[in-house]
Amino acid sequence: MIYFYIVLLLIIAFIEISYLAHRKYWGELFVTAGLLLISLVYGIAFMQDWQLPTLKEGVEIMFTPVTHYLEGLFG
Amino acid sequence: MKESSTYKIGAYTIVAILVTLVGTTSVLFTPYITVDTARHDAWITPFTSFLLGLYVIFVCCWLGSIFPDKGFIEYLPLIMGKFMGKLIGFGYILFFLWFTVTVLAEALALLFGIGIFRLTPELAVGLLLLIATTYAVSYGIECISRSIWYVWLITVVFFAAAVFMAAPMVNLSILQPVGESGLSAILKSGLLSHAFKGEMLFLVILFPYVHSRRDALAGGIIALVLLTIFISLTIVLCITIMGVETTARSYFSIFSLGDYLEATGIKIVLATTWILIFWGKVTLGQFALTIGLSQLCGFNSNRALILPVAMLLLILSQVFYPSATDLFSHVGDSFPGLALFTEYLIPGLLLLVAVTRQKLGQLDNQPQQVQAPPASQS
Repeated sequence: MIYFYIVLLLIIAFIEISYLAHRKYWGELFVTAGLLLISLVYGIAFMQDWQLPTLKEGVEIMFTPVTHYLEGLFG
Repeated sequence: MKESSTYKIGAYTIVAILVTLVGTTSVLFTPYITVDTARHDAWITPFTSFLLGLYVIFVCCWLGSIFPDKGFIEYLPLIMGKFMGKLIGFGYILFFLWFTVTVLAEALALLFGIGIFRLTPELAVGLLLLIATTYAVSYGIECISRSIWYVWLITVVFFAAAVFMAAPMVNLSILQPVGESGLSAILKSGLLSHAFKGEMLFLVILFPYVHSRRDALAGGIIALVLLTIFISLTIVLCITIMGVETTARSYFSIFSLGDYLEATGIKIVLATTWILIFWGKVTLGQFALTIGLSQLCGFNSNRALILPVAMLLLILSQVFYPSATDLFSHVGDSFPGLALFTEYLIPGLLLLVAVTRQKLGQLDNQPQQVQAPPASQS
């Protein structure tokens, strides 16, 4: 299934990027390419079982101590 | 793909949207989370988060009414200055990303957890759900709000049917003695409930599309009252029919309730309801993320971002949470802390700064005048 995802991603990338480049929407092109690239990197990492850092770990590091502090307030 | 800029949402639709948005996960997960700590007094917990929910609604409506023609991410630089405004906006984009990915993962956990799907790959089910949500996001707020209105009607009928089927089996004596767990246990069990109620923050995203401030305020308050009743009623049903221990062990308590009822097909009714409302919740999260990113980058249209955002959500739902256990442990540990900042403290601080700067006359919140074209000379 992940191979299907990556093929779908590449098709969307080709259509979106060629459309935006043709219209010279450079800002949209830059952001779209960035999002698709992040998706591709995580897709390949998922396929190869690589452990890449994610937003989830960032949220855990920053906010889990806050939750534990709040729980501590109520005993 | 068209974007509906003139369509305005009324108070009834706001009720439908907010109950769908907040109720999807809070009705599903609050019984399991609260009963574990507050035992048979867990039904009181939803009432403890009522005032904070009201605070979020007032903050969102006040902020929105200061900048009636601008989106949330758009007016952050006007309040906090260009750099800080963009930084906070970027923080909110990351929050919407985390939120939508987590809701998508919760929807998949539900579909696989209650056994609707067994052999189908999770990615395939996620892709199907995202095709439906992306279609709605591409057609804008009019399509989303009208669809959620119908979904809400079906949900209320199905939920009421489930409650009526369960009513004869209720044993209210299990709830006594009231307050035995103590106030601190009830408040502690409500931490995640507060985080769920704080999702009323999405009112700030919807505000530019709402008919008037009165509609937003009335819709928000009615939704909050209904949600508090729905969540408390679900907890009462779970505790009084299944008992405290079984409710505290079941991730999807309301579905476990189906096993105790004599009526056939109740689980199918509940599963259909939750598939519909999870579609609504993922759609709203995806809409907030797409439109917020578009506003942060200053684009005139969000069309180009719709498909890339959908593809990112799909893969991250697989990468973030390898298992349902991992998902529920992460949400329980991190969401209350995250919600304290993103849903309560930062919006309150933004409002404080906006009102102060408005009083000092330093706020540029006037809608830009569109110059009429010069009259043609004959």
